[in-house]
Amino acid sequence: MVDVGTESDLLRWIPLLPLLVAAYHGISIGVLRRPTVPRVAAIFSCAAVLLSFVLACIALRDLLALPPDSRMLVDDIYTWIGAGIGSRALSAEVSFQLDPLSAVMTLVVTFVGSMIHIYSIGYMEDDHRDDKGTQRFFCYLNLFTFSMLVLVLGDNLVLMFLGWEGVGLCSYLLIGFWYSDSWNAYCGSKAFIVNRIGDFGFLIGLFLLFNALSEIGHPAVSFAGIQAHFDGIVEMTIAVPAWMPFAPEWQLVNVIGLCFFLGACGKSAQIPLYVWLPDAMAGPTPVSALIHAATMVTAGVYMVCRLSFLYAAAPEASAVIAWTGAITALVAATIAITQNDIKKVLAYSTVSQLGYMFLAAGCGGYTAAIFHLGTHAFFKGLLFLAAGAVILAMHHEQDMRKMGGLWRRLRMTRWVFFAGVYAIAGFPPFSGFFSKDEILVAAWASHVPGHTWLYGIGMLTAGLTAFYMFRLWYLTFCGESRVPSDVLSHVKDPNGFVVNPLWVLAFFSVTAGLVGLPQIWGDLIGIEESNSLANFLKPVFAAGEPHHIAHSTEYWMAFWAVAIALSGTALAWLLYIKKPGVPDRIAATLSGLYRTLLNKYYIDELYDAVIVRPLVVFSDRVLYRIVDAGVIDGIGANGTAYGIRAVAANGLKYAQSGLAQNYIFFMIVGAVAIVGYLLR
Amino acid sequence: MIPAPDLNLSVLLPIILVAIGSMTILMGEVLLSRADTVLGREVTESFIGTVLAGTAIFFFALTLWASGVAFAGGGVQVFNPDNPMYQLDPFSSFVTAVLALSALLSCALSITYLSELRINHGEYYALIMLSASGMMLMVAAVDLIAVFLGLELMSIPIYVLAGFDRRKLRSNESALKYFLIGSFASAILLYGMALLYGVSGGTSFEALRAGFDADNPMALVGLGLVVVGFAFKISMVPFHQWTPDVYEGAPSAVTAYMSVTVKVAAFATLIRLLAMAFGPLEASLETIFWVLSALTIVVGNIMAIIQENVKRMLAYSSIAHAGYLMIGLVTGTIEGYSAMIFYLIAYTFMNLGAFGVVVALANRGNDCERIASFAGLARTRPGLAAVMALFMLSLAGIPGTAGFMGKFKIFMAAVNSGDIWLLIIGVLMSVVSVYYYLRIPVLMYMREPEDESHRTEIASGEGAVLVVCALAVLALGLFPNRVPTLLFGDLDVLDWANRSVGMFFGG
Amino acid sequence: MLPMDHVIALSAILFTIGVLGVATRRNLIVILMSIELMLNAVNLAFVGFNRIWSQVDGVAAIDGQIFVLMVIAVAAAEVAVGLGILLAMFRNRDSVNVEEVNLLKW
Repeated sequence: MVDVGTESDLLRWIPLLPLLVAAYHGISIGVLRRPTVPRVAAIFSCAAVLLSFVLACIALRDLLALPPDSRMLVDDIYTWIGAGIGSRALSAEVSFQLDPLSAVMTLVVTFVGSMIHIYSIGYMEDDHRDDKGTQRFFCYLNLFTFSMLVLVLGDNLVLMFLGWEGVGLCSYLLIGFWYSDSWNAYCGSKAFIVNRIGDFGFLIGLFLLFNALSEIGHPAVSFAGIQAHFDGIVEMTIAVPAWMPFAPEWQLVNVIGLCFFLGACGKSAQIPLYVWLPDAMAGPTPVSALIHAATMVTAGVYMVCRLSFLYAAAPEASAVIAWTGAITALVAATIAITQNDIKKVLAYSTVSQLGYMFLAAGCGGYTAAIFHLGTHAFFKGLLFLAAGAVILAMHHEQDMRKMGGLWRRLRMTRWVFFAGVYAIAGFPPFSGFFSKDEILVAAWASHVPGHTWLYGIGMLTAGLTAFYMFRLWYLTFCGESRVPSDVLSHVKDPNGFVVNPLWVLAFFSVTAGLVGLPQIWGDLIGIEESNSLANFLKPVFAAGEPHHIAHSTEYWMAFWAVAIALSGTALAWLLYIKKPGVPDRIAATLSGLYRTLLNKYYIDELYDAVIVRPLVVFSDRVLYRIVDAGVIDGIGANGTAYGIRAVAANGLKYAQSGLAQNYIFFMIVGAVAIVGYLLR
Repeated sequence: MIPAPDLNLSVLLPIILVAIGSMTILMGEVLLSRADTVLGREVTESFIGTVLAGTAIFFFALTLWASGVAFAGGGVQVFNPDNPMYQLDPFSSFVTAVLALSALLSCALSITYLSELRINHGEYYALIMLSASGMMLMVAAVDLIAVFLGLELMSIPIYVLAGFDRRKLRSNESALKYFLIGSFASAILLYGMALLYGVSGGTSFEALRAGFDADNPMALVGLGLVVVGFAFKISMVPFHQWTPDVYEGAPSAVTAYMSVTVKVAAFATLIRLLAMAFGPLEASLETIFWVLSALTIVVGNIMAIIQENVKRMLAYSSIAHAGYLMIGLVTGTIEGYSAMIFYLIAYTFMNLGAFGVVVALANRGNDCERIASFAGLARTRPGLAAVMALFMLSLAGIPGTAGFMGKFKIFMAAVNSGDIWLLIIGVLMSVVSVYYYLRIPVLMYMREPEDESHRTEIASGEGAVLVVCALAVLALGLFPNRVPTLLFGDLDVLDWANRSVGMFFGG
Repeated sequence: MLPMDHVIALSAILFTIGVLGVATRRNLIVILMSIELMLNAVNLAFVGFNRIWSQVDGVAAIDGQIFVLMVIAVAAAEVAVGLGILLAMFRNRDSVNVEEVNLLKW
């Protein structure tokens, strides 16, 4: 039987608090139409998320009190959907579970979330576009936090899907938060539509999985239930026609795994569905930090790790994940080199780092993926927020070519920003170093075909990461100032709401890596079980058997990682500080390559030409004008409506003559028909 | 000397409570209307109405409690073991509780309405209680005699109630039509019962089951006539035509009461009759129900589209809902029956709520029954508009409401028993129904108010009923399986529905 | 001794006459009488069937007779209410013609 875990009524309040506050905001602006004072509304929101964080800490304490093998808190609230009977019975509970994996996620979400909420108080005060704005913003933000917590705490796939869709919705709402600018609305729609493709994959995977489990007589959607009966479906195959690749049959778990991965691609911005994330930067910067860097976009990674038992049994799907992740990491890093918008660089960097996480997950290094997810949430959240502080200080200027030399003006922001850059570039002992190193080790040790190549791509990407991050740093903070002098004189650190959370995040960006200190470093300084994160997470993940790596190899790998990061940094210094004219000359010499990168490999244009434009034309000319307006509206909806109305108004109506005896006549006819049929 | 039979009076407790209540009200009215002599001072008519309604509500609450206790206790008790006529079992006690609750809500709904229409007579509540006792008798009957008695005890007071606004021609007409067609249908039902008795030699369900002979034409005719009799009560097409006329003409509060409770009682009795007297559905009966159900869904929904009167539209909608409910009968499985019970509960709240809004809008001399009069209601009466929109969404079966979960369960049962075509008809016609249900929210929220004057304030009774109904509709939609409440712990509605019909399947 | 088949046949004929009466007559009083006729046909059937079954069993089976008593009582109540409704109707309209009662339709 499935291990049910320890009951804890605490869990439900973790997502419920943000929901309640979101509902309060929604009612006060939507129904009562009396907005609360912005500062008060903001404080409610922050308090809710902070309280959730406190509750999550208490839950973590309870969790740690349990023996390592049965660390699972459950909060079964009610049966949400109960349908069907017997072997087809679907019972989706609203039930939360806290195991080590969801505990890590919950802590990250609530902690980074509350920092960003506090930051938003200061950030949104700068926004005077409309009166309801602040409260609407916090309403969405809390709704997002709720959805994200449902996603990570839900104990079954259906509830996870609810959260999955909820975060997608909130992402859409927040990207298009300043909807009066149609570009923002366009970006919101783009994110939503691209995500739908992924959600479709998620749903198909869910259906296939449920169907397979029903066939062996154990219909289940809860993770525990799926895992308990998973062995029964590992061997299943799907017969496919001969012309399909890998005919005549596909292993079912691979298909399911790929379907779920398609969902993860959409949410976590992987090739081929990454195109929405850079455009999502149209939203307010705290949103970029919270949703499009720290939490929502990592949902795909979380899902893959949550289904680790499935992917462990699906080597082909895992290989696809690893390679997709690696290629995404590399491609996004190369694009990031040429971008001039400070948020765009960070966006491509996020895509690239997410690729890293998938690389790890695909290689079976689920712990490494989650570790990097956590550290990335800190340093990327920090970088975005610090970038937001820069943008605030620069009066909403995002082009790095118009910055430079801010070092002297932003006396606090510079330090936290530097901490973030240093961490993501992967220098020891900052957090990025340990998590990235662990991913590279996992890639090296895995059984994925071409794993040494994966390692190579990872290393190359690490170098590129250091390069473009220091490029950003030098362009923004160092060198000659390219800021107009009248603006420069006003540039100063933003207020305390904005700056203080940055210090907290910076602290964790620097130190979070120590949570998952690899054993080889632990041995050096004499700590047993130094990788406490890995030990904490171990019961959750399917145990793989990676290649053994000698300790000396690991040290060498760490050394080379630092070396390549250093060389990336040095190159950036050379190009942007020492000889500032060189990049332009390089760009001019390699103009073809430069333009390709600057235009992001023309992927947007490609999609536009191959998919979007034909689709729009087809939709407009055929689907809308002919099928929708003509057939469906004309003949279908309106036609049916008029037809039915006509049937009722011209025919049936007259049977309802108002005369009692007519009614009795119809009854007699009916009775005769029934009796006649029975006697037939 | 004949030994006194071993009677089990506690079995009759719910019915006795209701009957005592109705007598109390009749007596009370006589005493109170002479109040200046008894109490020594003048009392207003509305005060009398409130006191009597309070009495009715009190007794219904007692009944609700008694049947709830009986349901919680489980088990089967009969009144007279030698000659079982009336049986208190999970099914009857549960349905009795539902009936008591909806009757209670109807009483609370009527208080202000009656004085608005100047028909504040005390016998109103007595009649409601009498008819409720008839329903309770009927759903618990295990003998044709008791079924018949209950049916008539239910119907006759409602004939009177339909014509309660006796100065109004429409109310007269409503009562007359209901009475004429109703007693005609009763006679047909009775003849069917007589034939069934002729075949089996007994009137108890047990005897019917033992003596039923599918090859005997007399048995088949009897069966057919009994089905016709019930088809009238639950307004299946083509036995439905009285419904819109009666619902439209009767005072709105009465319509609210009868549209809900009669349907619950008749469906429950039909379930019991089919499960206990005729055994598993015969194939031919299944076909008949199939056709009736399809016809009912189609005709009810199509006719509702062209209605301009809210009550008439709701009448056709209730016909359509009877069709959906019928799908549960067609399946004949425990899942289908349980879905029916759930649907009936959902239907109770949403229909009572919808009629409740009509009641709460009614003004003296101005019924506000035209659909067009709902225009701009969101501006003038935002609260009423919001709950009305909710009830319309629920009736249309939009997810998140009780109506959706009810339809979902019914359709699910249809899928599992293989009635795919019925399911397709049901779903298609649900789409059609959205057209006329959503007209009202559209009018309320997207049009300017008319000049027509609604009542401007809501009475506490009506407000309470609407709030209860709205909460129930939401709760059953969001938490279909277990409704968490602050006061009473979790209400496990689905489990109750399963338990109540489970007894027919040996559970 | 009268064969019971005849009694049942008679009741069926009476019932049919009642049905036709309800369906075709215009005067509400006559319709009311036709309904009574239907109920009495039912009574006759019950009594007849009861007779048959008591001969088969040889014991005092009186279910049918009790049913008849119930039907008589209920019929009386029904007629009382029906006449009351009719009277209210008559006061408002000065007519008992069922064809004039069609205010509510469609």
